[in-house]
Amino acid sequence: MRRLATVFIAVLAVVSIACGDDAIPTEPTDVGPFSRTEVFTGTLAPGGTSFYSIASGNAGSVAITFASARVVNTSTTLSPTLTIGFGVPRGIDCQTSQTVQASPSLQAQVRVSIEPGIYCIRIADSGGLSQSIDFAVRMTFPVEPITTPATSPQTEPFNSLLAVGGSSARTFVVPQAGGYSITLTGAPAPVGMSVGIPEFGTTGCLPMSSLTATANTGAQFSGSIDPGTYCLRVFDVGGIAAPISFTINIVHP
Amino acid sequence: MYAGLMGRLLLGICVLALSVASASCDETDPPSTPSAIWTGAITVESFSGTLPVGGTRFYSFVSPHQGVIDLTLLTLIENGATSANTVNLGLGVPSGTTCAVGSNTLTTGPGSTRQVSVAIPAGTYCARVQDVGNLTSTATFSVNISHPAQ
Repeated sequence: MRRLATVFIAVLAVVSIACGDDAIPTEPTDVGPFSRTEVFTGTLAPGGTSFYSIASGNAGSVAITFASARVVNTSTTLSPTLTIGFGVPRGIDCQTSQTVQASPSLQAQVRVSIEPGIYCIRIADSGGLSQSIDFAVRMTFPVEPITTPATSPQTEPFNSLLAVGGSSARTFVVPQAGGYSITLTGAPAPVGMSVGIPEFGTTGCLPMSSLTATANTGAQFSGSIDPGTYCLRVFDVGGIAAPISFTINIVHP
Repeated sequence: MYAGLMGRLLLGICVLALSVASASCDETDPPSTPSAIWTGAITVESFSGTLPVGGTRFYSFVSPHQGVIDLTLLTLIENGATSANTVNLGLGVPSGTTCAVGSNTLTTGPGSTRQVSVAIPAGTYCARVQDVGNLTSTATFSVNISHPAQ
């Protein structure tokens, strides 16, 4: 009988383990600067508005970056001034508690402290749009407080090949806020360059700014940048007849 | 003989243990009814608009207390007359550019009694009206949203 009891208990134990509570962590406990990012993309018509709702399970600071505006269905960047707002979804709109006038940047234009809850980001034409645009707004939350760079700037090389009619891209991670610059240091012909944020869930790059660059003419992009992941794309603007190699230095905190 | 008897006995014990254990770990849905239903004041918000063919509209609101949210599609009008078609009415939460609705939906025509009724914790919710392929022209609609008041 002792043997039978042992078998009974053993089977119970095995099955109990098999159907025990699922120890699935529901939320990462890390609330570091890259803990959660969403990108709100869409098309905004002149005079139009659009909003995007987000749920945060944590209290903390939300950073909102109007990062990209482009001619619809192209990669041609624009720099319109739009109204970017943060608030709560109410009725058929987003009821904003904080708004700013902003142009595309790699530095957050809105920072808000929040408690857990459902919030929304609103983008609206302030009357300056003459045509519809494709836009991208990045939301990161909660994020660490912005700190003064405590370390020397890092230089990351981007050395690659560019095919005729092609493009080449890479991402880079900025660990803290500060100044950045991107300089084309070597290319036998003018090339197109754009800097922006990665498109969520794809390998695309949503450009903040783009231009045609010639090597060794100084930094093509520079300014202030927030912690986060960014992308740099080099593309043929019709100036090369055969594949070329290029070198770029990315300097960031 | 003895070995055969023991084998059948062991098999029986295993089956019994399995059934006991299975019964103890049956999935149970989270209680759909909050432990303390709001018995205070109720507020009614009106959500109305136009719904194009294949379109979706939603309306966000806050329930400051746990309780019951009732949705009533009061009117659905196509071509100036009450529509005989049905649309999907649902309760969800605002998410991205939409209202994320789970199983709390009903495809229904207009009526004066609630069509969707859900017990919820306090929070932000949305009511969604969606054409599921039945409309033949842009419709106008009105929905009453009843929820615990402040």
